[in-house]
This record gives sequence, C-alpha cells and structure tokens, in this order.
Amino acid sequence: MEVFMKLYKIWTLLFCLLLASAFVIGCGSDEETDEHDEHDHAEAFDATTMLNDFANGLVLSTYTDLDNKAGELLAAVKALESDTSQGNLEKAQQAWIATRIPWEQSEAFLFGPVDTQGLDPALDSWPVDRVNLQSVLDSGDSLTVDFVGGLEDTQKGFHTIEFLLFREGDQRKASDITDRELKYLLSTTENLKVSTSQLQAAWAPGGENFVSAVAQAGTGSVVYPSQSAAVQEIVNGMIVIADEVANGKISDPYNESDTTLVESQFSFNSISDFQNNIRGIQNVYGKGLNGFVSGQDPALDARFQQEVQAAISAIGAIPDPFRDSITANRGAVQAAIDAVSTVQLTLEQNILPLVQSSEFN
Amino acid sequence: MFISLSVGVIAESNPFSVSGYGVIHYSHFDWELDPGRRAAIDVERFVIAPKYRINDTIRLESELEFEHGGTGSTMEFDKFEEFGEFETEIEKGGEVIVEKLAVVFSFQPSYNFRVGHIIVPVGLVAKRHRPQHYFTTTRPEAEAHIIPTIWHETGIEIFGSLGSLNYQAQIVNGLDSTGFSSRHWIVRGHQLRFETINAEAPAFVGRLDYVFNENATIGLSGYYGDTAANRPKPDVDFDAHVGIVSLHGFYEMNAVKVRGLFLWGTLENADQLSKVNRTLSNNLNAKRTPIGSSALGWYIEAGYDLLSLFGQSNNSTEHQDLQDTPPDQVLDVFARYDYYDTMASVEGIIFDNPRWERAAWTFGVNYHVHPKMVFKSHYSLRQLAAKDKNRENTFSLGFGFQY
Repeated sequence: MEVFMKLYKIWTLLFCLLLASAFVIGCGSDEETDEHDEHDHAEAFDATTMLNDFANGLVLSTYTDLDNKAGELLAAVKALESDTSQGNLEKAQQAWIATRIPWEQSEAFLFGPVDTQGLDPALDSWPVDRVNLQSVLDSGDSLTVDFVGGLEDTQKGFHTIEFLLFREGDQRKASDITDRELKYLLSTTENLKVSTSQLQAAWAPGGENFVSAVAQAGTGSVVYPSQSAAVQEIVNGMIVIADEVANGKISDPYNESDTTLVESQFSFNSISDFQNNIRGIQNVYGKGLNGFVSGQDPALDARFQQEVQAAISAIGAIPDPFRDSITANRGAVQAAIDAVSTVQLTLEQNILPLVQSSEFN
Repeated sequence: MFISLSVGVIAESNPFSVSGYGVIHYSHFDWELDPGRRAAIDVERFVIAPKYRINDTIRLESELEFEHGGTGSTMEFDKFEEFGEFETEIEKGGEVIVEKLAVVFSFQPSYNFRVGHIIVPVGLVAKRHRPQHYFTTTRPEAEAHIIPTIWHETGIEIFGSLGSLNYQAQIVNGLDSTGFSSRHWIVRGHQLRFETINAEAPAFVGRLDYVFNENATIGLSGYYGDTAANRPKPDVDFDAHVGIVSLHGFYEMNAVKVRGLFLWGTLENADQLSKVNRTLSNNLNAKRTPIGSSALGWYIEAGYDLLSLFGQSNNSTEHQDLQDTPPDQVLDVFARYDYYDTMASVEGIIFDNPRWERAAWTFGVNYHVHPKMVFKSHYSLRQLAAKDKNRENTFSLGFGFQY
C-alpha cells in the first residue's frame, strides 16, 4: 500500500512538473506569470501537519477548553442557586465571560459537527428578545433541563444565561433574582454544558472523531476527499466569521442604530466577543496556514498577519460599551468595520485563490 | 396586458385555453417585536393555467406559478458524496412552481378521475384562491399560517357531483415533518425543498361541498397522512400522522359577501418530532423549533358593496361569461376576524409559546373596477397572546386580476 502511495506521489509530482513546464513554454512572454506558476505547481504542499495541528492542536483543544469553562460556569451557577449572594452572582458572571472566550474564538471554524448537529444556533442564537425570554418565566411550566432543551434556540444558550445574570452591562442585584429565574438559569446552563460536551465529543478521537476526518483529508477521510478540500473549508470558515463580524455583528446594529441587535447586549461584552472572533482567525492562521502562505508569497503572509492584528486593535479602539458607540462613536465603529472587511477581502481575494490554485499532497 | 392575455376567451371549439391570475401588493409593518421590519412590495404570484382538451373524455390541466417574481432554488441530497450532506443552490428570491399538471378523465358528472400533480382541496383557499375570492391583499391568515396555500401534491383523485353535493377523494404524497415549526405548524412540511419528493407514505384527502348555488356553499374537508416516513433521512422510528379537518362556507349574494372557515389539526408524537428536529443540520434550512401537537384556526369575514346603495346591479358573477358588457363596478367595505394558534396544544415537555397564539381584526376596502380586476386596501390589527410587545399592525395596498 505504501509503495503505491509513494508511486502515486511521484507520479503526481512528475505530472505537476510537466504541467509547470508546459506553462513556462506556453506563457513565455510574461515573466512574472512564469515565476508564479513555477512556484505554484513545482511542488505539492504537504498539509498533513497543518491539518493535524488545526484539528488536534486548535479545534479539539478549543472545544475542550469551552467544555471545561462551561463546566466551571455550571458549578458557579449551582453555587449561586444554593446561595444567592452577590459574591456568587459575580463569580457566575465572570465564569460566563470566561466561557465566551473559547466559544467566540471557535466561531472561526463553524463547520463540521457544530454545523451539522445544529449546535451553533442552540448555543448562541442572537439577537434574543426579552419578551420571548420573559414568556418562559411567565409560563407555568416546570423549568427542567429537558424543558429548556425543547425550547426555541433563542430561548436558551449563552444569551439566555446572560439575560438572567446581567442587566445593562452590570451585575444584577442578587436579591432581585427570583426562584424561577434561578431555575431557568440552572437548567439552561446545564443544557449549554450538554451541548458543549456533545461538541467536544464530536471532534474527540474517543468520540465521533471528526478530528481524523480533517487530519486524514485525502487519505481515507470520508468528509474531505483531498487536502485541498479541507484547507479550503478552513479558509472558508475564516471568511464566514470575518463576514459575520464586519457585516452582521458590527454593521447591523450600527446601520440601524438599534441596541437590541447587539450581540451580548445584556453584559456589554460585545467588544471582547468581536475581538475573540478575530483572534479565532489569528489562531487558525497560525496553525500552519501561515507556513503555506509565506512559502508561496511572503509579502502576502506579512500583510495578512498585520491586517488581522489591525482588526483586533480597531475593534479594541471602540469605546466600551459597544451599544453606546454605535451612535456616539460612529467613526471608531466604521474603522473597525473597515479593518475587519480588509481581513475578509484578503482571505477571499488572495488566500483562498492561493489555496485553490495550489497543489496539495 | 388584458389584450395579450385574452386567449382565455377563445371559442370552445379550440381545444387549447389559458386562464390565470396575478397579485401584487405593498405592506407597511408596525410590529412591536420586530420594529425594524421593512415595508415591502411583493409580486406575490402570477399564475398561468393552460388547459388542453384531447377529446370529450380526456383533458390536460396545468398551472404554472411564478411566486415573488423570481426563479428559485433546489436542494440536493446525495448520501454517497460529501458525507450525505445537503447542497443548495440559490439563484435569487422567488420561485417558479408547477402547481398543477394533471390528466382528467371525465366519464359522468358523478364519476371523474384525475391523476398527476393536483391541488389538495383542504380549506377554503384551495377552492377560492383568486384575488376576487378574499378581501385582504394576502390570503386569509388563519388559514395560510396553518396549512400550505396553495397546497399541491402528486397522486390520484376521484371527483364528481351528486345533485347538490360535490365530492373529491384523493391519495397523494405526504408531508415531510422536518419543515414543521412553532410559527407555521405544518406549512413548511410541504415538500418543495428538494428536486424530488419523498413518497414513502401517502396521504388521504377528502372533501364534500353542499352547493346551494354558485354563490353559496358550505363544506367539509379533511387530510390524513404520515409525515415521518417522508423525511430526507430515515432519522425517526415512530409515526407522525397529521390529521386535519376543516369546515368552511361562503355566501356571496347581491351586495353581501360572507365567508368563513374553521380548521383544526393534530400531529402525532409532536414532542418526539420536536426533539429530533432540534438536531437537524443547518444546511437543511429547517426551522428546528418545537411543534404543536395541535393547531387551531378560524376566521369570518363579511363585506358589503356600497355601490349597491346607489341602485346599480352588482352581482358581479352574473357577468363572468359576458366579456363585452361594461365593467361591473363593486366597492366592498369589509371586516374580518382571525384567530389562530399554531401551538393550540403541546404534548410532553414542550413550551407553548404565547406569541404563536394570534388574533387579528382587519378592516378595508376593495374596489372592483371590473369583475376581473380588483384594487384592495386593508389595515390589520394583530394581537399576540404574549404579555408585552404584542401588537403587530399592518397596512397594505394591492391589486389582483384574473383572465
């Protein structure tokens, strides 16, 4: 089998060389193109390490972190339920903010089980409206974990927990929290934990092992017939979140001047959320894509890294809270939109085409 | 437009004929829960219905509908590629739909046969769907939010009339329960998403209408079929039969028009279905919301022709076959009350969201410049059963025609 693989690789290499030389002969008049083509097709890029680092080193570890943080959040909520003190409320809030970090970073790869098992909307649907959440509290239903599991996506997950823990960016008074709110909080946090565990298990080698579907792209993966397909999926994942941050999360409330459209509107955690989305892009890029891009086009690599950093800084430069800045600091918000759009554009116009036109093992 | 479309009036000797209708409207929304909702214009539908008479016994019927002025999208499900995932191609908003494509065998008035893609005759709109048949710019909401309108499936039908009694009985393909939702109950279970329709479980449809005369009818219709077997993937191991009963009637004599409908439906194992639907792939583009184990809707509307007060003869249907008579103008003022709850009851541990229990008063004016052409306006005040932010007011203008 290995002999066959080797032969196959040699044949592929020879074929690529042949193709490359054909290009050199065919397009002899344009020297720049020649150089490029020679570069692109001369040798296939072995993405095995990149894909393995991405799947094991980044995705699985991010989801494991998320699941652990969700466990800590659940513990904090349980503590709050048994002793509804101001200190316990604050701890639960901190745990919520901590859990948001790996989740928001994971949004740079919203494909695979998080998508096919419908986990993204179950965990993080927004915008949520208070009326919808209040209806649940006003009902006579018993707020068990099973009951919360059956609710619409906009009535459970991160932002329902947020609604119950925070008010106007600040903690609530612990004494204001009703028994029903505590029940809803506990059940929806337990439901969140079930979802994060499901997500972690879907990627884990001991579970459904989606890690291997990515890592073994092109060599027996049932999902990705080639390494190129897997790398394209990864780049498209980055494009999706850049687009969502620039044109959805920031632009929609900004264009409509509507604070109810702001993600994380109860905790005022929006700026951190958006930054972590872009850090997610940074994390993905740093797991081997950077090596691939710099090997092909060092200038592009340097430019993209700088653009990603600039986007994180531009979002950070929006005065907190974001919900006020959509009307009060429109210049800063526009600058952040532009910076994230630049990241999206480079991904779409330079990096994705580079991946598509390159040969992988 | 009327000139170019006037082939519908070709003499009976011609075996080929075309009829159809069209609707366009504008709506302005003032909805508390959705304050950003944009005013919208919808080229709602343009229907072309060619018919061809082969001989005295056999004829072909078809209906081609352009919805929202556009083309459309289909989905492909290939379990041998891409890990059995769904692929979608979307060209632009809107749809082109073959609503009817059938062969009719007319043996006797009491016994006829239709086979092919046919209209499922449940409710009032199934029979009365042209813009002249309802007052509002859009179809009556209590009906349109609970069952598909127009509902068309593929199968066979026996129909006929026994004196004043018209009957229809059908066996057609069933619904797909992945599309069911809190907001619209079974409406999106109408299989339109895929290139082919899953036909693992059939549905049975029946209708009886007692016709006093052309303008006054009361009737009963029903539907029964399993919706679990027709899902894109075999992901459930229980049945999910849908049963629907509707009672309907209309009276349109002289200046007065009254129409009404009562509709009730049940869904088997709604809690288990809700649970399975929650984990459907994002790519399937399903709502994944919990589903009511029953749905209930009713409406009654009444209108009065103001021009009748000025002594004009205004029974428009008298002139339907007289193309050369001057336009018969009608100015109806109307009111309608709708009540519908797409989660009328739930089973198991499912939250019965009060926002899906809706009641609406609608008032408006319809100006028929001609029996074939109507301009409409209405103002609708909808109230959700939710405690806060529960008003949904809509103003709408539109027109419709038939040929």
